[in-house]
Amino acid sequence: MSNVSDSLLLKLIIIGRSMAGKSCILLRFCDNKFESNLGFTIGVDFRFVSLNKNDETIGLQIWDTAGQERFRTITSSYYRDADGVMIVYDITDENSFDQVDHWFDEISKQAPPSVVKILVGNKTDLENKRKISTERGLNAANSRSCPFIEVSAKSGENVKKAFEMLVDAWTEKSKQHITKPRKKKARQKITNESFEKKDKGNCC
Amino acid sequence: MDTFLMTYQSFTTPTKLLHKLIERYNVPNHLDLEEREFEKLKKAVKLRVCTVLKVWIKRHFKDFSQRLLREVYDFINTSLPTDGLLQMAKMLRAEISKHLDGKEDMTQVGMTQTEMDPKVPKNIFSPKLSIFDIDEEELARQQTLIEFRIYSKIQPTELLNLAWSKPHLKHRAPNVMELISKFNILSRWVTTCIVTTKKIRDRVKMFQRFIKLGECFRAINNFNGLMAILSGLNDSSVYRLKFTREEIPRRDKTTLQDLDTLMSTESSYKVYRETLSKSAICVPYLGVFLTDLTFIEEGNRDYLANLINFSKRKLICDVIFSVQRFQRNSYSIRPVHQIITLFEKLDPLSTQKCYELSLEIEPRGKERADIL
Repeated sequence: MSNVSDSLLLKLIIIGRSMAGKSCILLRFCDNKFESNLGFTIGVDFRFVSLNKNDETIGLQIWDTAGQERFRTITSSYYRDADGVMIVYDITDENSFDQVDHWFDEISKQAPPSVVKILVGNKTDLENKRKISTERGLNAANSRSCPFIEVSAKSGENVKKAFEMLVDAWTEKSKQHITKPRKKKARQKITNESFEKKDKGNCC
Repeated sequence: MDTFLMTYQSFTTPTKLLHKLIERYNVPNHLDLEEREFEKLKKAVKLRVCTVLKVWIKRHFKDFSQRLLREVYDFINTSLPTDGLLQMAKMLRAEISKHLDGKEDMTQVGMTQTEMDPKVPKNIFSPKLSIFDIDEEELARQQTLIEFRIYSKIQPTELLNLAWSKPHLKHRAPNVMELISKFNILSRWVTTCIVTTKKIRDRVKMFQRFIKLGECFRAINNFNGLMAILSGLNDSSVYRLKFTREEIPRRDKTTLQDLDTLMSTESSYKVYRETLSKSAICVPYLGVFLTDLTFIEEGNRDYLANLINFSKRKLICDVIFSVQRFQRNSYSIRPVHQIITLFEKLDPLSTQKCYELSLEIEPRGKERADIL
């Protein structure tokens, strides 16, 4: 953790139709053993995760409003200052895939232009109920030039990788813009102290 | 027992529970106990079953359908007298009739406070009464009354198994659905009012009215209403109105910022949660409860080694208790039917339409001088 004071804090948000498994992906990413952990409680801080990448620690602040999909609350304030967006659909549910376009539109309207995206097809554990082929998912992602991956929140397959890919996309994009002055306010650096405070959730 | 009775419907039905209780009541002599020992055990178990039944009826009378109630009566009238539990039978029957007479519903608190006279405009009885004739403070009060009435009707069963988010279980959560629908209409109405105001000067005024309305909701702890206003003002079709936002006086901007901070998703609604915990009479923003329930439901198994995961039910129950905590204290606001009717009749435009109008009033790439 020598590098913590220099590490970045990225704000990621997860969006998608209800029951696409957004909360499961986050829970799985936060703690691989969440299911057997009886003491699991909803802590205010548990959506902070640190990811180690090439000797660098990157703090991820993940926003998820699973359960509120029927409310008209996913608005600009939610997208404001977001660094990355994960758009989740359920590979067994045609409707959830239909909404992917809608989410891309919303992002282009509401999120900052610098935001990076990833399209995630969830529930590969239900291969026999699959309705959306990998190819269709890939095409949708390609047409929006964003990365794509299929995961299973249930088995944990590819979940960590999806977040890593999103962070990679962000790193790549910020490298390209390195010579230009940053439009956004200086990215928040995490001090040792605040990192410890934020990290006390029982997830990582 | 409270936790159990609150959440058992996530894994079984009231009918099955009653049958299991009756089964338990008829204790078999499994353990080959001596006659005297067995009699003692039997009596204790029977009394305990009756106690559970009594608490069940008392606290969750809505679980009992007509048919189930008949079964309960059968049980009380046949089994209990046979065992000489006449006193208990009488008590149970009294408990049921108390509920049938509707006496139990009279436990509302809060009406002791004196109601303030409503602030109504002179034309309150005019058929042409418009929502904008009315003071924001009164608008906030009446809308709060509408929302609290729905909120206070939410049943524990509506919050189980993520019923509100699953199409095939939606019918199980009527009040949750209604409150969400009211929320969305209010929010869309806010957006609609802004984008249908053609001149920027009037639009700024409209914007200010809604900030004021949000402030009034905050003042009486209606966080649900406040969140609806904020989501209406943060909708992309309003948010993109750069010139309108620039012309809002600084004082109002600061107020809006403060309200935004209060309801921010940051650290899982940290600021809001702290504020809520200190509120007595309020309408909480339901969404946060629903998110908590989602994470508890999705993050924990229903069964552990074939046993019901009771710890999970305990967590769910904690959320339900929080919902109920705020159902008990009702507002002492005098309803003004003219205003309530105006709110019931709101008919906002679709999000898509609002965005189109937004592009018309402040087209992309235009200068301030080009805007009406």
